[in-house]
Amino acid sequence: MRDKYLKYILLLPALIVIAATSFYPFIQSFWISLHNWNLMNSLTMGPFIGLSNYVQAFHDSGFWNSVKVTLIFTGLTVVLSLTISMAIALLLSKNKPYLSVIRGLLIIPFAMSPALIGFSWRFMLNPEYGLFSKLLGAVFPPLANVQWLGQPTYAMVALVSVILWMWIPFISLTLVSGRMSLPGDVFEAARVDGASPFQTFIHITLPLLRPIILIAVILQTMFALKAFDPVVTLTQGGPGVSTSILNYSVYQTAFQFFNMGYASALGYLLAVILVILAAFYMRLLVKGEGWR
Amino acid sequence: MSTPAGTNRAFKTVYSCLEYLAVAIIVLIFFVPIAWIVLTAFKPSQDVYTLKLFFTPTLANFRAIFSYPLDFGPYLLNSFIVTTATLVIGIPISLFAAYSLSRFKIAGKQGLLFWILSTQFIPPVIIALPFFILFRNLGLLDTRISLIIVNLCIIIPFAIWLIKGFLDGIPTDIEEAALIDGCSRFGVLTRIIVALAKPGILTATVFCFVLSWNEFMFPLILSRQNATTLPVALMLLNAEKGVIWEQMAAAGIVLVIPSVILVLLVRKHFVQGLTLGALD
Repeated sequence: MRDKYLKYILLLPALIVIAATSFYPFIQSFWISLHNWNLMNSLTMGPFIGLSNYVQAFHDSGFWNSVKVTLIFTGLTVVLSLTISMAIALLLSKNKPYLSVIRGLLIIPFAMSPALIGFSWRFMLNPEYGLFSKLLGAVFPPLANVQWLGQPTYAMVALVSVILWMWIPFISLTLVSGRMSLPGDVFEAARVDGASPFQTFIHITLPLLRPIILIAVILQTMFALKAFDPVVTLTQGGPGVSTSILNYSVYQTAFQFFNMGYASALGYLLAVILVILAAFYMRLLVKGEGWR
Repeated sequence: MSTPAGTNRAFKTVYSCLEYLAVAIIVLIFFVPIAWIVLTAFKPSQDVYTLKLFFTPTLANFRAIFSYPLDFGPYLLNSFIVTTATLVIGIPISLFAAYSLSRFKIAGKQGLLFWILSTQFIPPVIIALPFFILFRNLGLLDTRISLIIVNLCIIIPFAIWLIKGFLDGIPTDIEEAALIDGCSRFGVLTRIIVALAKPGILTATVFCFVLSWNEFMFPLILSRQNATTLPVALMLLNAEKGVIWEQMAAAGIVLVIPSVILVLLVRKHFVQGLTLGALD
């Protein structure tokens, strides 16, 4: 059958592109990471220095700071996003016409440019004239004169809030579509048996939604770890290095300090963390559901 | 223990009021910031630093970003060319691969799918560094070609994943009938599958449009001036004397309108699309 060849021919162009973006950069950046190379001093790669860049990273407080910031940022984002999205999903997953309109509109934040949202947050968090600062100050008086981007904790809160604002609608809609595809008779039976809404949620909704929740966690982790645009446009890693997540700190090392060798080593360490995380999630997913 | 009917009804009323309130708060949180950007874009500059809701709207900010010295026209054109080329090349490639993965027995398919998804866990900055060096050596820095190449890398794994999810849900009997009638396999793919999977392909296209249109890191690193796209051009408004917020908002509106319209057009299939590939 000609299908025997066709199926590979159809697959080939995509595989070439994906190989070009995974194998090539992976090997290339590992090679660069074994060299001392500052782009400011020379356009060609410097001397081979073995694993020195990695050794340097482990003694670099900046690197450990980035790891810490990345873990806090990702952890906060994933936990808050999933909790809030679940609450929103329960509210919105009812068959009422006005809710269906809201569900339709809720996809809009997903389409917005993250870079623009970062800038807009900077505008709206300005203590002098920002809308958010004024509103927050009016609702919670102790927050009235906060310099949102001037203090490490508040800057982290601001950065997390950007990611939450961008992704919660999407994650909620994912959970809504999962919740609404569950069979109605199970819930009816629970109601007849006198289960409270809370019991129903814990013992029926959560277990049934497990696979989709897992996918939402994977997506949200991925989006959080890839966050870059809002860091550039909102905090630039600051104040100091308090919001300098690894992604941003690799970028800075490479394209602001032009230290290509060291940046590659940092990037590689980040990639290793991500690949381990990915493998861990995949295992959970494969265990729970059939993997086609 | 029995509850008096009156108390029960009162409880229900309070509960549904709270529900409306919660929905209203959600809507406010997600739409007030957007509304504020829209308002700011039409504000005359003396009103930008106030919380005024009523002012004389002006188009001056839009005129400013499209005229000297900002001249956002070419950046908009770059965004348009890069995204269009990415989709025109990337979507058919992804459709072919998705069809092959969905319909045929392929050795090591599980591993292949895992590999395609796991590329999404590679931090983009790792990809950017070797590509920066490669494009510099090839003299392709600050060209649209380089941006199209990296955007293809970003969208193809996503598009394969999305489209495969839709194809898996389409029964194969129509295809088999067409094959028996003498239609070639490639004919089945280009005529029948494209027609049947239209919503899925459109959703994937819109999703990839958003990814490619909003892409920020790669154009920031790989372009200087000639190939700069609109999201990166926003940085130009971040001048030494501070950001000119009304122009930022105006540029922002120009930037988000195409993707918002497209996303609203496919919203029904959108969310199911992304999760379908992984479920089933």
